[in-house]
Amino acid sequence: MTLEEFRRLADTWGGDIERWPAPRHGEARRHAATEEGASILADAQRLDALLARGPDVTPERAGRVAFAVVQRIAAEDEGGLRHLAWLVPNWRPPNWLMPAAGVACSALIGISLATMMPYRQLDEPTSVLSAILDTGSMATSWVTR
Amino acid sequence: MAGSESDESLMGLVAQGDQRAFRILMGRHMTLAIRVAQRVVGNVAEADDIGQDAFLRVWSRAASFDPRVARFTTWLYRVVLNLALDRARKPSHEPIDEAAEIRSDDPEPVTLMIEDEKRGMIAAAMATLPERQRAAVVLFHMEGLSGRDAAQAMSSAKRHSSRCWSGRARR
Repeated sequence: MTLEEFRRLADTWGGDIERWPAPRHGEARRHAATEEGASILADAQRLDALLARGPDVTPERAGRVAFAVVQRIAAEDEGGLRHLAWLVPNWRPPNWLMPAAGVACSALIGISLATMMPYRQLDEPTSVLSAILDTGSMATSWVTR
Repeated sequence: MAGSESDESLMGLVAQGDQRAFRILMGRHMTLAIRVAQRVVGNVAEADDIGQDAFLRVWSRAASFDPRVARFTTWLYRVVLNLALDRARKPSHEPIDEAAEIRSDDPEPVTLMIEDEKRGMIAAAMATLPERQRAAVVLFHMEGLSGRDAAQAMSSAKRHSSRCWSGRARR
Protein backbone atom coordinates (compact mmCIF):
# COMPACT_ATOMS: atom_id res chain seq x y z
CA MET A 1 0.00 0.00 0.00
CA THR A 2 1.39 3.37 -1.01
CA LEU A 3 0.90 6.47 1.08
CA GLU A 4 -1.41 7.81 -1.60
CA GLU A 5 -3.60 4.70 -1.31
CA PHE A 6 -3.58 5.10 2.43
CA ARG A 7 -4.75 8.68 2.03
CA ARG A 8 -7.49 7.62 -0.38
CA LEU A 9 -8.73 4.97 2.04
CA ALA A 10 -8.76 7.51 4.87
CA ASP A 11 -10.74 9.90 2.67
CA THR A 12 -13.21 7.15 1.87
CA TRP A 13 -13.63 5.34 5.15
CA GLY A 14 -12.65 7.92 7.74
CA GLY A 15 -10.05 8.03 10.47
CA ASP A 16 -10.89 4.74 12.18
CA ILE A 17 -8.93 1.93 10.56
CA GLU A 18 -11.25 -0.63 12.15
CA ARG A 19 -13.98 0.57 9.79
CA TRP A 20 -11.80 0.06 6.72
CA PRO A 21 -12.01 -3.18 4.68
CA ALA A 22 -10.52 -5.91 6.85
CA PRO A 23 -7.86 -7.07 4.34
CA ARG A 24 -6.27 -3.60 4.45
CA HIS A 25 -6.01 -3.34 8.24
CA GLY A 26 -2.46 -4.68 8.56
CA GLU A 27 -0.85 -2.43 5.98
CA ALA A 28 -2.92 0.51 7.13
CA ARG A 29 -1.68 0.13 10.70
CA ARG A 30 1.91 0.16 9.49
CA HIS A 31 1.28 3.47 7.69
CA ALA A 32 -0.56 4.84 10.68
CA ALA A 33 2.58 4.33 12.77
CA THR A 34 4.51 6.79 10.56
CA GLU A 35 4.39 10.54 11.06
CA GLU A 36 2.76 11.21 7.68
CA GLY A 37 0.24 8.41 8.12
CA ALA A 38 -0.69 9.63 11.59
CA SER A 39 -1.21 13.13 10.20
CA ILE A 40 -3.52 11.82 7.46
CA LEU A 41 -5.52 9.85 10.01
CA ALA A 42 -5.75 12.85 12.33
CA ASP A 43 -7.23 14.97 9.51
CA ALA A 44 -9.74 12.23 8.71
CA GLN A 45 -10.68 11.94 12.38
CA ARG A 46 -11.35 15.67 12.59
CA LEU A 47 -13.76 15.37 9.68
CA ASP A 48 -15.31 12.28 11.30
CA ALA A 49 -15.93 14.26 14.46
CA LEU A 50 -17.55 17.06 12.50
CA LEU A 51 -19.77 14.66 10.60
CA ALA A 52 -20.75 12.83 13.78
CA ARG A 53 -22.05 16.00 15.41
CA GLY A 54 -25.71 15.62 14.72
CA PRO A 55 -28.52 18.09 15.11
CA ASP A 56 -29.70 18.34 18.70
CA VAL A 57 -32.98 16.55 19.08
CA THR A 58 -34.18 17.15 22.62
CA PRO A 59 -36.43 14.65 24.38
CA GLU A 60 -39.10 17.38 24.52
CA ARG A 61 -39.03 17.77 20.76
CA ALA A 62 -39.17 14.01 20.22
CA GLY A 63 -42.05 13.87 22.73
CA ARG A 64 -43.98 16.55 20.85
CA VAL A 65 -43.60 14.67 17.59
CA ALA A 66 -44.62 11.37 19.25
CA PHE A 67 -47.70 13.07 20.69
CA ALA A 68 -48.58 14.37 17.23
CA VAL A 69 -48.35 10.80 15.92
CA VAL A 70 -50.78 9.64 18.59
CA GLN A 71 -53.16 12.48 17.74
CA ARG A 72 -53.05 11.68 14.04
CA ILE A 73 -53.75 8.01 14.62
CA ALA A 74 -56.64 8.88 16.93
CA ALA A 75 -58.03 11.34 14.39
CA GLU A 76 -57.88 8.76 11.63
CA ASP A 77 -59.98 6.31 13.61
CA GLU A 78 -63.66 6.66 14.31
CA GLY A 79 -64.72 7.50 17.85
CA GLY A 80 -61.63 9.46 18.69
CA LEU A 81 -62.65 9.73 22.34
CA ARG A 82 -61.75 6.17 23.12
CA HIS A 83 -58.21 6.95 22.02
CA LEU A 84 -57.79 9.25 24.99
CA ALA A 85 -56.70 5.98 26.52
CA TRP A 86 -53.36 6.63 24.80
CA LEU A 87 -52.75 9.44 27.21
CA VAL A 88 -53.91 7.58 30.31
CA PRO A 89 -53.05 3.90 30.02
CA ASN A 90 -55.79 1.40 30.93
CA TRP A 91 -58.45 4.12 30.92
CA ARG A 92 -61.65 3.70 28.95
CA PRO A 93 -64.25 6.48 28.68
CA PRO A 94 -67.52 5.40 30.37
CA ASN A 95 -70.73 5.34 28.34
CA TRP A 96 -72.32 8.23 30.24
CA LEU A 97 -69.42 10.59 29.46
CA MET A 98 -70.65 11.92 26.11
CA PRO A 99 -74.14 13.06 27.29
CA ALA A 100 -72.69 14.47 30.51
CA ALA A 101 -70.05 16.39 28.56
CA GLY A 102 -72.80 17.76 26.29
CA VAL A 103 -74.83 19.05 29.25
CA ALA A 104 -71.73 20.59 30.83
CA CYS A 105 -70.80 22.38 27.60
CA SER A 106 -74.34 23.78 27.24
CA ALA A 107 -74.26 25.07 30.81
CA LEU A 108 -70.88 26.73 30.27
CA ILE A 109 -72.09 28.46 27.10
CA GLY A 110 -75.21 29.70 28.91
CA ILE A 111 -73.25 31.12 31.83
CA SER A 112 -70.70 32.84 29.60
CA LEU A 113 -73.45 34.42 27.47
CA ALA A 114 -75.22 35.70 30.58
CA THR A 115 -72.10 37.37 31.97
CA MET A 116 -71.27 38.94 28.61
CA MET A 117 -74.64 40.74 28.31
CA PRO A 118 -74.06 44.52 28.39
CA TYR A 119 -77.05 45.53 30.55
CA ARG A 120 -78.90 44.16 33.45
CA GLN A 121 -82.53 44.92 34.09
CA LEU A 122 -82.65 48.12 36.13
CA ASP A 123 -85.48 49.39 38.23
CA GLU A 124 -85.28 53.16 37.85
CA PRO A 125 -85.40 55.19 34.58
CA THR A 126 -82.41 57.31 35.67
CA SER A 127 -80.36 54.18 36.18
CA VAL A 128 -81.17 53.13 32.65
CA LEU A 129 -80.07 56.53 31.32
CA SER A 130 -76.77 56.51 33.19
CA ALA A 131 -76.13 52.95 32.12
CA ILE A 132 -76.54 53.97 28.47
CA LEU A 133 -74.28 57.02 28.88
CA ASP A 134 -71.64 55.09 30.82
CA THR A 135 -71.35 52.40 28.20
CA GLY A 136 -71.12 54.95 25.37
CA SER A 137 -74.08 53.44 23.57
CA MET A 138 -75.41 56.87 22.63
CA ALA A 139 -73.71 58.86 19.89
CA THR A 140 -71.66 61.78 21.24
CA SER A 141 -73.45 64.28 19.00
CA TRP A 142 -76.73 63.52 20.77
CA VAL A 143 -75.30 64.48 24.11
CA THR A 144 -73.73 67.76 23.01
CA ARG A 145 -76.86 69.03 21.28
CA MET B 1 -40.35 -4.59 31.91
CA ALA B 2 -40.52 -2.04 29.09
CA GLY B 3 -36.75 -1.68 29.00
CA SER B 4 -36.09 -5.39 28.71
CA GLU B 5 -38.25 -6.05 25.65
CA SER B 6 -36.40 -6.07 22.37
CA ASP B 7 -37.50 -3.76 19.57
CA GLU B 8 -38.30 -6.77 17.45
CA SER B 9 -40.60 -8.37 20.03
CA LEU B 10 -42.31 -5.01 20.55
CA MET B 11 -42.90 -4.81 16.81
CA GLY B 12 -44.64 -8.17 17.01
CA LEU B 13 -47.00 -6.66 19.56
CA VAL B 14 -47.48 -3.49 17.50
CA ALA B 15 -48.54 -5.66 14.57
CA GLN B 16 -51.35 -6.92 16.83
CA GLY B 17 -52.40 -3.35 17.63
CA ASP B 18 -50.63 -3.02 21.00
CA GLN B 19 -50.49 0.71 21.68
CA ARG B 20 -48.25 0.35 24.73
CA ALA B 21 -45.58 -1.38 22.64
CA PHE B 22 -45.89 1.35 20.03
CA ARG B 23 -45.41 4.08 22.65
CA ILE B 24 -42.28 2.34 23.94
CA LEU B 25 -40.83 2.13 20.44
CA MET B 26 -41.53 5.81 19.83
CA GLY B 27 -39.89 6.68 23.14
CA ARG B 28 -36.80 4.72 22.17
CA HIS B 29 -36.37 5.73 18.55
CA MET B 30 -38.16 8.98 17.75
CA THR B 31 -34.95 10.92 18.38
CA LEU B 32 -33.11 8.76 15.86
CA ALA B 33 -35.83 9.20 13.24
CA ILE B 34 -35.85 12.99 13.57
CA ARG B 35 -32.07 13.25 13.60
CA VAL B 36 -31.61 11.15 10.45
CA ALA B 37 -34.39 13.02 8.68
CA GLN B 38 -32.88 16.37 9.58
CA ARG B 39 -29.50 15.27 8.33
CA VAL B 40 -30.99 14.41 4.95
CA VAL B 41 -33.42 17.28 4.44
CA GLY B 42 -31.57 19.89 6.55
CA ASN B 43 -34.75 21.41 7.89
CA VAL B 44 -36.18 21.18 11.41
CA ALA B 45 -39.87 21.40 10.58
CA GLU B 46 -39.62 18.89 7.75
CA ALA B 47 -37.61 16.55 9.94
CA ASP B 48 -40.38 16.62 12.55
CA ASP B 49 -42.97 15.86 9.88
CA ILE B 50 -40.88 12.96 8.62
CA GLY B 51 -40.54 11.63 12.18
CA GLN B 52 -44.33 11.67 12.44
CA ASP B 53 -44.86 10.01 9.08
CA ALA B 54 -42.22 7.39 9.80
CA PHE B 55 -43.94 6.22 12.99
CA LEU B 56 -47.34 6.34 11.34
CA ARG B 57 -45.88 3.84 8.89
CA VAL B 58 -44.45 1.79 11.73
CA TRP B 59 -47.96 1.63 13.19
CA SER B 60 -49.78 0.90 9.96
CA ARG B 61 -47.23 -1.44 8.39
CA ALA B 62 -45.96 -3.29 11.43
CA ALA B 63 -47.26 -6.55 10.01
CA SER B 64 -44.84 -6.27 7.10
CA PHE B 65 -41.81 -6.13 9.41
CA ASP B 66 -39.87 -9.39 9.47
CA PRO B 67 -37.26 -9.66 12.25
CA ARG B 68 -35.52 -12.48 10.35
CA VAL B 69 -34.67 -10.06 7.55
CA ALA B 70 -33.54 -6.97 9.43
CA ARG B 71 -33.32 -5.40 12.85
CA PHE B 72 -36.02 -2.89 13.72
CA THR B 73 -33.60 0.04 13.62
CA THR B 74 -32.44 -0.93 10.12
CA TRP B 75 -36.07 -1.09 9.02
CA LEU B 76 -36.75 2.28 10.64
CA TYR B 77 -33.71 3.83 8.96
CA ARG B 78 -35.09 2.63 5.65
CA VAL B 79 -38.55 4.08 6.32
CA VAL B 80 -37.07 7.43 7.37
CA LEU B 81 -34.69 7.55 4.42
CA ASN B 82 -37.46 6.83 1.95
CA LEU B 83 -39.59 9.61 3.38
CA ALA B 84 -36.68 12.03 3.61
CA LEU B 85 -35.50 11.35 0.08
CA ASP B 86 -39.04 11.80 -1.21
CA ARG B 87 -39.11 15.21 0.41
CA ALA B 88 -35.61 16.06 -0.76
CA ARG B 89 -36.72 15.45 -4.35
CA LYS B 90 -39.31 18.16 -4.07
CA PRO B 91 -37.94 21.64 -4.78
CA SER B 92 -37.64 23.71 -1.65
CA HIS B 93 -36.32 27.14 -0.85
CA GLU B 94 -36.14 26.61 2.87
CA PRO B 95 -32.83 27.54 4.52
CA ILE B 96 -30.66 24.77 5.89
CA ASP B 97 -31.41 25.01 9.60
CA GLU B 98 -28.59 22.85 10.77
CA ALA B 99 -25.98 25.23 9.48
CA ALA B 100 -27.19 27.96 11.79
CA GLU B 101 -27.42 25.87 14.93
CA ILE B 102 -25.12 26.82 17.78
CA ARG B 103 -24.58 24.59 20.73
CA SER B 104 -24.62 26.34 24.06
CA ASP B 105 -21.99 24.09 25.68
CA ASP B 106 -19.18 25.13 23.35
CA PRO B 107 -16.50 27.08 25.17
CA GLU B 108 -14.91 29.60 22.81
CA PRO B 109 -16.90 31.93 20.56
CA VAL B 110 -14.16 31.87 17.89
CA THR B 111 -14.04 28.08 17.95
CA LEU B 112 -17.79 28.13 17.73
CA MET B 113 -17.73 30.33 14.65
CA ILE B 114 -15.15 28.13 12.93
CA GLU B 115 -17.04 24.98 13.84
CA ASP B 116 -20.26 26.53 12.69
CA GLU B 117 -18.71 27.57 9.42
CA LYS B 118 -17.40 24.05 8.83
CA ARG B 119 -20.76 22.55 9.63
CA GLY B 120 -22.35 25.03 7.28
CA MET B 121 -19.95 23.93 4.55
CA ILE B 122 -20.76 20.30 5.21
CA ALA B 123 -24.49 20.99 5.15
CA ALA B 124 -24.11 22.93 1.89
CA ALA B 125 -21.99 20.17 0.36
CA MET B 126 -24.54 17.58 1.51
CA ALA B 127 -27.29 19.54 -0.19
CA THR B 128 -25.49 19.25 -3.53
CA LEU B 129 -25.07 15.46 -3.33
CA PRO B 130 -27.33 13.11 -5.25
CA GLU B 131 -29.85 11.59 -2.87
CA ARG B 132 -28.34 8.13 -2.59
CA GLN B 133 -24.89 9.51 -1.85
CA ARG B 134 -26.41 11.78 0.76
CA ALA B 135 -28.16 8.84 2.36
CA ALA B 136 -24.95 6.81 2.35
CA VAL B 137 -22.97 9.60 4.03
CA VAL B 138 -25.68 10.03 6.64
CA LEU B 139 -25.79 6.34 7.49
CA PHE B 140 -22.12 5.42 7.33
CA HIS B 141 -20.29 8.57 8.35
CA MET B 142 -22.84 10.40 10.47
CA GLU B 143 -24.83 7.61 12.08
CA GLY B 144 -21.86 5.27 12.30
CA LEU B 145 -23.58 2.25 10.71
CA SER B 146 -21.43 -0.49 9.26
CA GLY B 147 -21.27 -0.70 5.47
CA ARG B 148 -23.48 -3.78 5.58
CA ASP B 149 -26.14 -2.18 7.78
CA ALA B 150 -26.08 1.01 5.73
CA ALA B 151 -26.53 -0.99 2.54
CA GLN B 152 -29.40 -2.93 4.09
CA ALA B 153 -31.08 0.26 5.24
CA MET B 154 -30.74 1.64 1.75
CA SER B 155 -32.40 -1.51 0.42
CA SER B 156 -29.34 -2.14 -1.64
CA ALA B 157 -29.06 -5.50 -3.31
CA LYS B 158 -25.29 -5.46 -3.31
CA ARG B 159 -23.48 -5.44 -0.06
CA HIS B 160 -20.82 -3.02 -1.16
CA SER B 161 -22.90 -0.45 -2.92
CA SER B 162 -23.26 1.92 0.03
CA ARG B 163 -19.50 1.79 0.59
CA CYS B 164 -18.89 2.89 -2.99
CA TRP B 165 -21.45 5.66 -2.68
CA SER B 166 -20.24 6.91 0.67
CA GLY B 167 -16.60 6.90 -0.42
CA ARG B 168 -17.38 8.86 -3.55
CA ALA B 169 -19.51 11.31 -1.64
CA ARG B 170 -16.95 11.91 1.12
CA ARG B 171 -14.34 12.86 -1.46
